Amino acid sequence: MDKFTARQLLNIESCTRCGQCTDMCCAYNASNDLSVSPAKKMELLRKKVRSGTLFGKLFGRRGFSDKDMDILVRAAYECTLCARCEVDCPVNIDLQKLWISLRSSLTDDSRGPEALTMLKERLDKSHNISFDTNEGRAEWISQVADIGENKYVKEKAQVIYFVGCVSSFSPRVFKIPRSIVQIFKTAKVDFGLLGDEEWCCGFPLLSSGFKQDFVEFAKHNIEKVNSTGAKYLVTACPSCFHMWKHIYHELPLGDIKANFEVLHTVQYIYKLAQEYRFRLKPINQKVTYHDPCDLGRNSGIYDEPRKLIRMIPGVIFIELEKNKIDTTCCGGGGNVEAVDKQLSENIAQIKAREIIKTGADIVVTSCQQCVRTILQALKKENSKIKTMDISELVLASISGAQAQLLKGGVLSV
Amino acid sequence: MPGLVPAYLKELVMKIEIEVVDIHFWILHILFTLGIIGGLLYKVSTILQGGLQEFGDEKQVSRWHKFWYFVGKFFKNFFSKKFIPIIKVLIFDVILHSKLFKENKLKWLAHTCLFWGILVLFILSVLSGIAVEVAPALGYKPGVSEFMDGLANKDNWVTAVLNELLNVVILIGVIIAFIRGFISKKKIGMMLFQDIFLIIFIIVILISGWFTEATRYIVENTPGYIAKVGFLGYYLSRLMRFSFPQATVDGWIVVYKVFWHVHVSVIWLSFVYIPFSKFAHAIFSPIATVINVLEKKKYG
Repeated sequence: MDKFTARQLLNIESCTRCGQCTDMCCAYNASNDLSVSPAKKMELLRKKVRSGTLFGKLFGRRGFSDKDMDILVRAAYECTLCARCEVDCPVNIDLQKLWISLRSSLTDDSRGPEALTMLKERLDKSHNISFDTNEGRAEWISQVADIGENKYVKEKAQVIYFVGCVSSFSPRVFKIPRSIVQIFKTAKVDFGLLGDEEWCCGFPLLSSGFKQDFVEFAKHNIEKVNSTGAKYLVTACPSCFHMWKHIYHELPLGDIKANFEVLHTVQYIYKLAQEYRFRLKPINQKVTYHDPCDLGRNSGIYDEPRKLIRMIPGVIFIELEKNKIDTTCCGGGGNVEAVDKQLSENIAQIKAREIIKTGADIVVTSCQQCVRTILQALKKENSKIKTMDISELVLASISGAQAQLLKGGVLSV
Repeated sequence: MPGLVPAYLKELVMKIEIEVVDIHFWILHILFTLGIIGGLLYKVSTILQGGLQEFGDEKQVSRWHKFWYFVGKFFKNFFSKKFIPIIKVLIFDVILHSKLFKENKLKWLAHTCLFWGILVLFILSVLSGIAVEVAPALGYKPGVSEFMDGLANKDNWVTAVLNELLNVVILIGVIIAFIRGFISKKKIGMMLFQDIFLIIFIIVILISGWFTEATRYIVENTPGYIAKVGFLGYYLSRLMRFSFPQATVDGWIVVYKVFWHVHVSVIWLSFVYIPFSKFAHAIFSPIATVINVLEKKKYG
């Protein structure tokens, strides 16, 4: 129980068992399996906590069985950590953090899935979630024109662009960092990359239950950005953003303190647009926006992406049925893909159908992981709706390249 | 043969029986109070096994240290700028359950009936207990305060109507909760063994309460115009008298004592059981809600 805070143990006792969390859970709604629901997790967690107490040992009808443990392990890791369950909780329990602590306690008991243990080993070795070495972190930039010899890996810069593992190593989403670099170049931003000194933000470690290792990654990253003298740290990955903005400063980091402001790219690009650092040309399309969980519900960034989309002339903006705080996960969160690919795909299918219902031509989001999962899910639904990151849409508008955009993107992969 | 027993002897027997009931009451009261306190302390001690900070390493910190840390934190927050937000949370989230109302009106109705029914009935019982047991011991003489006399007198029309209405409100809450629990496809929230057990407790308390009241009307031969105020108990007493016309007053006294003991014992048992049941949230969730709302690190 040392992985839980007293507040979390109080919350376990305070759960009213109303079941509102289950109604909203994307894993439950995609699987119709109560054993992966938040209510079941809470019930088993309560049982686990009680079975460890003296009262539980003396009077417990049944102890916490191996079968219970198996169900709890499955439920803990088949959770996207989207935090939708928190929204309707009448006791306002911080469930996402509770599920992370649960994973942490399971990891301590060596109960975590093998895939996540392997992920941890990979991170320890190469400091990124891919199978590649960290030297290849900035390879994606090679195809951007006029990048200079240093490829933007600078010792000093006003803005540090923290690319994140998925955008750095997954060719399917290389368009996103390339678009961002193009926008920054157009806006004449003094920006730099950390290159192979950029380590994973640590979210995969935290969400897999490796809290201590996570702290080491945070320390390294903060020190590296501090050494550049940057005024801003900008990232396009909502999970990286959430870690940098809201979690790092809670860690026991000693004297290490971030000396810069953390912004998501959507915030920074919106700021540039407000300063007229580039001109937006018309895109005559119907556009809808998917709020990534870590950027929207967990970080409160709802307005900037909507304002930025509406700044583009010709765009007709349509809201998804479940938007802002009520947004549902795309299926790409919580490392579920690594544990149960089918469940992840089923969650994405629900999202895809919601998008199709809007009648939009383009679905925009602010997350490389959401782009990836939604793109695949829409393909499965035989939909012609284009999926893209907001930076791609902005770049298309800057370039006046609506036709190219609809063909498959302004930039080639 | 009640007619053969002299009146003074009958009175004496009844007095002794009432005293016996009083002694039983106090024994039960003290035992179960100790049980409740023990249960709560046990729960608090379990909660304090957790750390103070999410990323902290406080294996060396004792539970006492944590306890005083939280007490200090409470006072620090309560007498600060957070006072108004705390009061707001208490009113809207803890007392009115506004979030539940927005989400599910029927669930809110069941919860409100149970929450307010039990809470007000509990307060009323405590006040009656003070009026009957504590105030006279402190020198209070009947006739000084209408309010105190009303609380002490179960047949006072305000006390009787309030008790009766609150019982009906609780019953409505139980029925809705029970039906919802059985109809709901997602039985995970409601239909745990402990929850059914607790609802059974409430039903036994309600039913034994009505029977206790009905038999009291019979034993005390309460006039109809007074007893009618406690409507369910009154009609139940008439039904019982009609069903068992041969029963003697002594027999009814025995029945009354049985129902009284069942009623009081189940009430106290359920109180002892609270920290280990679904109703634990009634104690812990107000504290948790205030902490969660004030410390929530979400930015949406």
